[in-house]
Amino acid sequence: MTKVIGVLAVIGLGIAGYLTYVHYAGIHVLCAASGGCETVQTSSYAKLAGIPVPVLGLIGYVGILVSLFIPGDPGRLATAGFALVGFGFSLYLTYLELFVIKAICQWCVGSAVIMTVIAVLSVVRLLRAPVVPASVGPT
Amino acid sequence: MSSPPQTKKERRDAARAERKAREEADALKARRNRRLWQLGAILGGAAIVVIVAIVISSSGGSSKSTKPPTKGSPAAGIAATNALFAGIPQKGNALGNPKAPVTLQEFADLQCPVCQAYTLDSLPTLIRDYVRPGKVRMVFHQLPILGPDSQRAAQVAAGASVQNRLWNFADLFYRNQGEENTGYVTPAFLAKITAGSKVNGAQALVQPPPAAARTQLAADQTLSSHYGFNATPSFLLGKTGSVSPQPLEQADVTNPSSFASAINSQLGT
Repeated sequence: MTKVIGVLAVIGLGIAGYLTYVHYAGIHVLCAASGGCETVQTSSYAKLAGIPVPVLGLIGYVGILVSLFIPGDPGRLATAGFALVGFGFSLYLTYLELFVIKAICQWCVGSAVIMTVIAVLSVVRLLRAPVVPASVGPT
Repeated sequence: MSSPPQTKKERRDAARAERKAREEADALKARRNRRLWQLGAILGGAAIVVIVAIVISSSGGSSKSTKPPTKGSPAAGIAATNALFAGIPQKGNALGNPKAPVTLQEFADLQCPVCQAYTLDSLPTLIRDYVRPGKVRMVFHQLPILGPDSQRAAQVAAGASVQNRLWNFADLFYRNQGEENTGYVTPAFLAKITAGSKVNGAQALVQPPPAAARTQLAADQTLSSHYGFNATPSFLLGKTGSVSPQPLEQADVTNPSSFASAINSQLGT
């Protein structure tokens, strides 16, 4: 399960990295639909407190990847924490796309789906992890 | 076959083992419960972080965000807009000397915050350095892509263009821009912007828009489709009168120097 989360996080990192590059390079984003990505990227919701949303995604995916290398429960908790924050924010951004901006960015939807799957897997990973006696110590 | 009777020591060892097993089971249960509590805490923490992010996001989060003028108050920034364009000739959607060697064409949506950022951060410098000295002519094309508010704003802006006041109207609109698609582009809001930019509101706000305004919007649409523009702001740069100006991809619309090198290259300076 850790490997699956890792692969998904790398894909998410790729998407967030591409959108971050597009943002700072000032070039047009590759988009299959009629300008939905540009509309979303140029909306006032494209930044949070001055920080471009793709940069926040980048931080989230890096956090998930780093947490996968932390052993035991602290690592599993950190992964779940990053993933749940990412999931909640993705949910909000998808709501904005559908009902406020009224444009869909496929890259954002892709990232939201990946973050949702990571959130589910990371919670299952946490709950299913073997519970070892304190005398044995975490593995 | 019955088991042999246990000695006192064996019974004591068995009781000890049983107690140890029970303690370990309790410890495991406690650790499982603690994990559930930790998950609950993480869920709560995540919810708080997301709520804070949503609050920041919905409150704008940007120091540059402006609010539409409230009922009864004049539009904000009228003096700044007037000063910016004072003395510069306007004809239709064009600004500046018609014989300027270079023309910079902008495709913009009046609701678009990035267009607002370009207008407030880069345009004044470009006007001072290139338009006022007569080196560059600017053309404003409507590309209303964000929603119904954009369409309404574009129609009135086209009406202002017919009156040769488009640049004042657009600049003042950006200075009073609200949150996109919140329905803030009402007749009252537009009336304030037209009044502040000295546009004849009775003519610009009429529905359907005047034929000349509709023609202008259709021409803008045709040109943006020709270049495949589906994002705002987009730019074309070329010699004045050129039939094939080139799309200008600049790194930062809020930085006038991003435009300066391309313009200087066209000017040959």
